[in-house]
Amino acid sequence: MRPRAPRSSAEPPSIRRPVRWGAVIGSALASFAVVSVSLAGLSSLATGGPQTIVSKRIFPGPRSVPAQDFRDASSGTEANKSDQESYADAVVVQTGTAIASGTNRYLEYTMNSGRPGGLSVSSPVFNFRLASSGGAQSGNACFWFDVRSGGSVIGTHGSYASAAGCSTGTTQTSFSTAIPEVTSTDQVNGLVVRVYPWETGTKTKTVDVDTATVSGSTPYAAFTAYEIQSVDDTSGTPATTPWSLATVDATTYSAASNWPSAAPVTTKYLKPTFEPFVPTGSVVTGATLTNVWRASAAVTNGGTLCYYLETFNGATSLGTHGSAGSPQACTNSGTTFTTDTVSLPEVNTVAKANALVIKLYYWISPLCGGGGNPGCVKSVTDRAQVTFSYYLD
Amino acid sequence: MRLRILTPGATTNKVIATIAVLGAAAAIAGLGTFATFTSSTSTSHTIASGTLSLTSGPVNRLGTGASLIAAGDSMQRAIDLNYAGSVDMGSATLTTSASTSSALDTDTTDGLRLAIDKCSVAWTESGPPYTYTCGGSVSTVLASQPLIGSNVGLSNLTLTAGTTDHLRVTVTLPSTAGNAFQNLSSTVGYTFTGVQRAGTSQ
Repeated sequence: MRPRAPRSSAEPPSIRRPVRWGAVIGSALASFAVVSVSLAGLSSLATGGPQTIVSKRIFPGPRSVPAQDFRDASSGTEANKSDQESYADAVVVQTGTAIASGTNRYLEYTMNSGRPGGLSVSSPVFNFRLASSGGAQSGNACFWFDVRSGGSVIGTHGSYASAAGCSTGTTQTSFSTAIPEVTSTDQVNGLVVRVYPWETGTKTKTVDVDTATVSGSTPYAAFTAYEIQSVDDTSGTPATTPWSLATVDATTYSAASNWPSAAPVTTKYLKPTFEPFVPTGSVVTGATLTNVWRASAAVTNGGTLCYYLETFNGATSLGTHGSAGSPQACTNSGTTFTTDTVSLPEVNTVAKANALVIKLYYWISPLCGGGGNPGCVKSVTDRAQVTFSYYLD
Repeated sequence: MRLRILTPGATTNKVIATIAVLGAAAAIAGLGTFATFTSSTSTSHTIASGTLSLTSGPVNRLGTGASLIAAGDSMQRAIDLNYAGSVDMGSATLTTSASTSSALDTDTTDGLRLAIDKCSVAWTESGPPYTYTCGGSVSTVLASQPLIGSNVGLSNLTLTAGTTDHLRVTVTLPSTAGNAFQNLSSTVGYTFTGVQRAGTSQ
């Protein structure tokens, strides 16, 4: 084998590297040229945009809330017939059975669904107000609870060993417990809170519940969710009580007194109040009252039970629907409910929606009582609900 | 002959450039090796290449966004595509991309959808909000599909050099879009690409 000849002294090291680089670049250019020729074609671009698309903060849609605050002035004097667990007042619900610690028997509350879905919730709390019903050897009222959404327990607060709250004696006491596991209005709508109460007396007593609500804030408004159904399992057998005005079911509200004859009287009415918590800045596009009602007994001899209604923003009248001479609706049935859907175009702002009060004036036409006239009757209400349609840009 | 000893720096660059040019020339010359042998006369002729140019306008509303849309809303924007070169287009595609993204553009089921149709004459615009009516015939350029797409083929375009297609772009948020689509924002860019027609005998 012949030994490799030494490099010529005419090829100094300083020139070898450029030569190599030149070869590389030349090869690259050659490859590019070949590929370009084989693939080439003309193309051209035209552009549009950028185009920014932003969605509304709250989509348009109907949100329905039943009246939680309900006053009956059929006698001529207003009586508070509001949902018993919605407000801190003298109206309380006593557990069906005396209940001691450790029984795992409960009270369960299902909240209404009047808030727009898809909104984040901050600072959610469960508000519970209770006291011992009292009596000889009674003690205090305590509770713990869990929170349920979609059929699952999403949070537990307290235990029999560590109560979420205890009131002293028969003094009603409010407890607001943070429930951070509730993060969206989708959960708040229809949220279920199961409360395990007990009475600490040496002789176990019942417990009086005044309030069971959930409150919090969305990015746009604070809210309170009221219960529309409660279950009392303190006996070990669940007893379900829907809020009478929230749903169409067998639970109804019967007016306290018979309605007047011949013509409505402005001091005699039913007065539902609505709290939809429409966010400030929303555009209210509609409000509709749904009144499901009938007479407490058949109105005979050609008579009918009639009503018209008046809307208020607080105490300020907004408008009337029907009148003494032209009722909103009439019925003579004591068994079949009439469903009236009444558009309320005058409720067209957030302020009017959030402080909507309605008075329904009933009377028996043409006359009731006395010879040849139908007997005077009460009204029976199965649902009093307003549906608000709105959006927030 | 003796090579001059070159100094590094500028001289080195000259060597690189020289060899690169030689390489390129060799490559181009090499292309001829793929051809069959031919003979030619001394007659000469001139061959001039054409141009391909896709432009937009004078109508181009694609830069106009839409604020505060809700499920079921749609927005219409017109754009003229001009085939301004001397060579016909063979096809055109559309690529859309989001520089600011949200579920509005990423959700291919309930998110924004795009459709394009063409009017045989210029669209008549009203608004804002812009809507368009066609005084001629309407044809579908792109059936409804998710807003974001890459090199999506467009149909029924003229593509002929020197002509214009009058397009109406419709972006819709389906009525099935739920509350998860509230309070979102997306920014979308549109790129139309035209490719020349296939080669023909000339």
